[in-house]
Amino acid sequence: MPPAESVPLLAVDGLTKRFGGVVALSGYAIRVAAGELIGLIGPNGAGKTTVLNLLTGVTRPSEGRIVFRGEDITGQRADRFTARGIARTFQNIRLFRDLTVLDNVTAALHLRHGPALASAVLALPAARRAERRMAARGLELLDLFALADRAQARARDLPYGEQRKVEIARALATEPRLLLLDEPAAGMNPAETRHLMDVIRAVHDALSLTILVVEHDMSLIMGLCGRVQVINRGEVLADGAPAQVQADPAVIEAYLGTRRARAGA
Amino acid sequence: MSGTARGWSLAAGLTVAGAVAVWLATASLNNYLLTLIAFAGINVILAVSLTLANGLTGLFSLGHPAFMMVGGYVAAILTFPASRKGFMLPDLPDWLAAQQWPLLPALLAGGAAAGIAAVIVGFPVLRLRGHYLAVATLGLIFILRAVVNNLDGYTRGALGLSGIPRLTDLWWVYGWAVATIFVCWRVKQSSLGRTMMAMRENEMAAACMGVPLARTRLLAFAIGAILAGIAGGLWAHLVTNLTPTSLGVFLAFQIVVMIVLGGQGSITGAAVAALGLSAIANLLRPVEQTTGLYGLTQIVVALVLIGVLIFRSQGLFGSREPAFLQGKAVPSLPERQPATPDNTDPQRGST
Ligand SMILES: Nc1ncnc2c1ncn2[C@@H]1O[C@H](COP(=O)(O)OP(=O)(O)OP(=O)(O)O)[C@@H](O)[C@H]1O
Ligand SMILES: [Mg+2]
Repeated sequence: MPPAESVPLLAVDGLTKRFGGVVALSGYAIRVAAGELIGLIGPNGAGKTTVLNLLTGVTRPSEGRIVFRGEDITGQRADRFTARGIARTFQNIRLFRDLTVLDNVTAALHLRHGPALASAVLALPAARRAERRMAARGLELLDLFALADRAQARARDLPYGEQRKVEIARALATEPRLLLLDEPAAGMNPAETRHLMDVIRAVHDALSLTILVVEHDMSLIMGLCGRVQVINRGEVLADGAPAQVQADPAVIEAYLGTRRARAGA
Repeated sequence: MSGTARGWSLAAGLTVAGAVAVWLATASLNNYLLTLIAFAGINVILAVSLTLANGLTGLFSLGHPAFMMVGGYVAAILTFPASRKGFMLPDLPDWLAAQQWPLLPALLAGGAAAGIAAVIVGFPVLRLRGHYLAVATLGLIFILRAVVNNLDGYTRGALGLSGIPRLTDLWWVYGWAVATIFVCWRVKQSSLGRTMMAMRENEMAAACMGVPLARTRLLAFAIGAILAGIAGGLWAHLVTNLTPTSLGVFLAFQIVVMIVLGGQGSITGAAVAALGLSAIANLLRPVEQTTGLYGLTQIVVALVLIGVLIFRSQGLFGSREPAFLQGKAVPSLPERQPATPDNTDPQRGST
């Protein structure tokens, strides 16, 4: 468990999500302290993406509470979650495909830096300054991922690994306190994954960001995270230091169980 | 930023060139031709303003004629000669019957009324997507028609308003077309326009980047409706009569054809296609009459549409504007270090 001396950044209790008869998540709970870098793992269909969808307001929980920075934000709209300071990437990449790479990022900068409509339409100096600031900031964010020279490319034309990085840059543009990454290394080769890990570590340190990362690539989880939570069939199985979780019999059983089931199928 | 300055001077130059063309036209052409050109200009206003909702935000709306009707009736009631208004429109309250406004405030009032109507209907209707939204907005035309028919003390119902003063001329249309293009262009190039396009590309991702979907959708819809309302007022004061069936489904179809031809989201494309289609229709009309092939225009328009959809489905301009009109400097990072080499290929797809 994280240190209990301060109010946690995120406190989630009893989170349950049912889709018709399917229970995707049941009684999920987590406390996240500011500054943590947590891995969320589990076999396919365990409910990891469901957790992220609930924590970003994309879907509403059937039961349970989400308290972020001391405020109960359960049931609010997704854009309110973002405004409060939670940002995410998507497992199945959801870039603004026909926009340029830079516009993908500046669209997300609008939340905190966008000029008012009237001043934009009238092209007032304030609006022009805001646009310039956003373009400059967008390029800085892209530069973190060595993508500044692709700024004017259409997002859809980038290779897969680069699209994943644009998604992270775009999420950072909303200036989050808590960043949720859904399988950021999927589709990357080992070299790209290592670069990604460096970048995640760098933004974690530089922006004093709290990060929850869902990933199947164990080298990334073990190399990056100070704490790992394991879920299986919608329930929390283990939560603790990576080595401790790796040795947990219930975790081994869950992974072996699915591997056996898959081998048998 | 010299890029921006270039953009502004180009815009000013085009505006002046257009004004010179309008001046030459009014000095040399007969009334009939001037009226045709004015209709083409109104089509430009309609197509360009629909671009905000249909092209940028990805809301397929067919409701423009309904908002034109709101704007047209409001403006016409306001400009109608006070001497005749009392007995033609008996239900008008006295204070309103005594009014006889000049065109400009009447147009603005019509636009405002259309905008308010768009906000009211937008709350329920904009929850719908795709075909459902198209059908619902088409329904607005019929709802408005019924309203106008039933408020006959204010609108003369099915008889329609006739004898509306002919206040619209080519200069009015040109001025509003320039204003419409300016507003839509600025919205498109602004940060807000970028969030609209983000919504079009991926709603869930846009919401997760902090874009308030409902409000942004409503804004795109309402700005378009205000401009359509103004176009309705211009139309009414050009044609001089307005009935519940004047502005209907066929017009909705024509406007949509214009923006599909121009490229959904391209302001230049919408304007060019509106002028082009208006020209085709007017050039073919004499051919129809001499050959007796009535309906030729519709057939040609439909064939052009089908051809474009097959051979160039993104329309003439896609969602973009021609580069020479953009006048936008490409931003760059100051004193960049060389990027770390990272050009390895991705290996597998996602689930
Ligand atoms: N919209 C939905 N409707 C119905 N069932 C759903 C929906 N979304 C998720 N589920 C179900 O909920 C369960 C958890 O899915 P989820 O996507 O959260 O798993 P995951 O841990 O992210 O898996 P993966 O590793 O494959 O991405 C699965 O059984 C899935 O079929
Ligand atoms: Mg998943």
